[in-house]
Amino acid sequence: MAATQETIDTLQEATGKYKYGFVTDIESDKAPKGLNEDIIRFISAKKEEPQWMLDWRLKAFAMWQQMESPDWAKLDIPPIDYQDIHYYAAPKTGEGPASLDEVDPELLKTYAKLGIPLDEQKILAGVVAVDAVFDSVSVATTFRGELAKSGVIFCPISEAIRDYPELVQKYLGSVVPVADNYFSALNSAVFTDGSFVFIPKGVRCPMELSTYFRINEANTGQFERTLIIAEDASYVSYLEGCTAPQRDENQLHAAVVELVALDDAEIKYSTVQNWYPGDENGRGGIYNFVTKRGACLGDRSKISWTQVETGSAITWKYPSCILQGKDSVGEFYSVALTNNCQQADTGTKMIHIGEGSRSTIISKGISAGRSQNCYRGLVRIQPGAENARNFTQCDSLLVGDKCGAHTVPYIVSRNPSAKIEHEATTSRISEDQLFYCQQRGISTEDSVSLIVNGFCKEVMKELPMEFAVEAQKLIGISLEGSVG
Amino acid sequence: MPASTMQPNLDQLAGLTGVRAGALLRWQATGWPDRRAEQWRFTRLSRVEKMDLRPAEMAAKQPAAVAASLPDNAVILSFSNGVLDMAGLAALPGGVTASLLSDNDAALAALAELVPAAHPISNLSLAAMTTGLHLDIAGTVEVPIILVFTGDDNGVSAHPVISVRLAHGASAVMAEWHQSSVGLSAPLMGIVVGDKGRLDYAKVQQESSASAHLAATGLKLGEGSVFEGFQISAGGQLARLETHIVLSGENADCTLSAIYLGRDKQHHDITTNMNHAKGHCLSNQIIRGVLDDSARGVFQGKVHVAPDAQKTDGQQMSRALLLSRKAEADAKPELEIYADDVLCAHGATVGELDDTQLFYLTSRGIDRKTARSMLITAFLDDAIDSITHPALADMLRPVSTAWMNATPNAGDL
Repeated sequence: MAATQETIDTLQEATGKYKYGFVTDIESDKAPKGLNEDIIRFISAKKEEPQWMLDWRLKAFAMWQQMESPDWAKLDIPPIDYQDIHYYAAPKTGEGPASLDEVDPELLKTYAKLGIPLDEQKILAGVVAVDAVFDSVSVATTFRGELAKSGVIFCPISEAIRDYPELVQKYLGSVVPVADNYFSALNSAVFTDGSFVFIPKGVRCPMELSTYFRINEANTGQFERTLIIAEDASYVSYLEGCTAPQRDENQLHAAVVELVALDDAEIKYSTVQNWYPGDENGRGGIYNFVTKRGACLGDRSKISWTQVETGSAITWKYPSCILQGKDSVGEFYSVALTNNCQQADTGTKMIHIGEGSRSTIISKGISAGRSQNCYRGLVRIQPGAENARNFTQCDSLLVGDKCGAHTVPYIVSRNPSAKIEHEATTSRISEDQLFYCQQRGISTEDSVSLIVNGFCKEVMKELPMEFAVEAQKLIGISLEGSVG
Repeated sequence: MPASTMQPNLDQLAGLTGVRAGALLRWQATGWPDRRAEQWRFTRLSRVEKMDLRPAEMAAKQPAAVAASLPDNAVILSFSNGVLDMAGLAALPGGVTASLLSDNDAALAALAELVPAAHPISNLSLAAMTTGLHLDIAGTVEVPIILVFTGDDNGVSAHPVISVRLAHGASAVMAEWHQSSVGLSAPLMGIVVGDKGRLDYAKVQQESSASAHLAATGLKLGEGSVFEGFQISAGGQLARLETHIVLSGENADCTLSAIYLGRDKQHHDITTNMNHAKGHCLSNQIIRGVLDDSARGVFQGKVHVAPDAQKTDGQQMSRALLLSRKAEADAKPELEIYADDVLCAHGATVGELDDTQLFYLTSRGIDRKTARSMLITAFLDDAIDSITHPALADMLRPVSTAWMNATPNAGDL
């Protein structure tokens, strides 16, 4: 019997989960495929960069050519042809839009569909300022005027390179050196856009800042660069979201994020990563190879990473803290969920250098389908880190018997007064929990979603309100089809 | 590195065949572990690589006296510079049959399979084998069999290769006691415990302060078998006790606890790889380390659960105590899990003695030195108490007590 349209729709509803998989039909301006010095010059010229920036990029490119792709992670990465990628793609416009009215309506529609408000009028004033990065360029940054009143700079990094060269030169590459790893070197050579945030001394950023990354073009890579500087006694909360169209090919996303916190400053960095994960057979999806690191340079400074990772075919990501300042604090809260054929190798590094530095790591890994999910982390106590303290908790949950959950923590302690505690558990959703929910009339899928959300609660509560709601739904959606 | 300059000097090995020839080729291809090798990231062998060594060909004239409280009724097999004193075999109790691995390539091949083929030191020891002993054990053997390793030549590398096979339902008590003064001591052990078998096992590493000890042990447990093992690493300049365990039948139960005690510039490495190949098995590891002076302690422990090994219970807890400002502790506990219905957990802590506990004891009139010593002893007892065999427990306790008494810093930081 032929399936009725209703059956097809229901099936589609149940399996076609990725609701951001659409493509925006917009004319774009692309660099030819391939990676060489000319492409780097092309990107630099497109961005109207000063000579020092171009030199920096070319130096990074030379280093990258000497390096090898890392293979230590528990990931099966098919070979990547770096010459088969467009390193620059931008929606075609004349000059950069002077105001939102000049932004292509197609783009505005895209962001509306994604639920990202770019129109300052339509949302409650003072909620979230957004920098929208579409392929290789930033298309709009909202609330810049409002932010400027308190001295906060929030702009695309390409603009910062032109307008605040002394700040960029001082901090760019200071936390993640160009040659830190293969992907950071690649990013340094070809990065196209990203956000720049500067919070001056004593300022508490009046609203949450957010960047929304969207890959749209086929055969492109996205290489964004984010730099956040929080001066003495300042505070900023920064959110990051990402999506991409549903395609059969794999696309590369290799970002670098650097955070700098001076005395008494606090940076809260939250990510909901929802790149297209590929279909249930592992076809397509984004390779998410990201280097994120924060330096707590100042005394009593604090950097907090919160991430909810549900997307990407392959994730290779270790948001880290260098706790250099006295009594500085590093935090890492992570939920990593993998389903179908996804692979994730993610975790953090806490490098304790300063006296009295403290760090907390809470990691929740959930594997379903045929996915592999690995926590990899390092806690290093340097000899000078008197009375340093670390607490780590890694819990893994297995949903189904075809997936894998792995925990690889590294602990290095070189100071006797430091206290390090690490604990990890691996288990599955217990029959008792499921039974309890089901006998109250909750369906199996909803029960699993409920239990998993409870499992992640410690991390979810660290997310800003807007994100927490989205993240909870996302976990429900990503788990669909994994039970029964 | 060209084979001609590689240490130990293996020129005397000519005309090897079978398993040993293959191992020699692998050793010559890899040499000492690569500096970037993940398995060796915390333990560097550059000092051993530079030693001028050759494998011993014969036993020392007089086996050195062993300063140990070995069980009275024990049968002792004595190895000197890695070479077995054959006279000892005559005293083996009934149920134990000894033979030589040099005459039995099949047994050697079976032993080689218990450790990874890519493990350089195992390949070296197979190739440079100083004595190859094979013990077949059937029935219940209550007399402890103790392998005592001594030596007196710093230019020697000792490569005793020992394979032990417990038949279906057999049980035995065994121990290794290492107290030699050789350049490198690299024992390779392979133990197979048959279905429903039981082995109580202990290892004491008390080599002289200039020696390096690089041990590899492969262990395979059959269905319903029990292995209770305990290791103490206290001697040597550089020591690595590496154990690969495969739980190859359901309902196997494996305990492998260890303590390491470091002072001066000692480096202790306890590496374990617990592989749950079949379901319904238990594994438990309690690791304790105490580090004084500039000592460094490493614990790497991996628990691997195969896709079908449902109902696995794998537990591991490692704790290190730093007594000195220059000591360092590294830990890498690892879980690799491919089955969903499992209960696996590991924990790791590093720190110094708890001030509150010290205060509690001193406030009751106990002097600081005694108080510290009590706390360290209690810390180690967590692990030592897991030994259930009384004769082995009696043999092991004095080792940690002696170490405590000899440590100047155990009194104060």
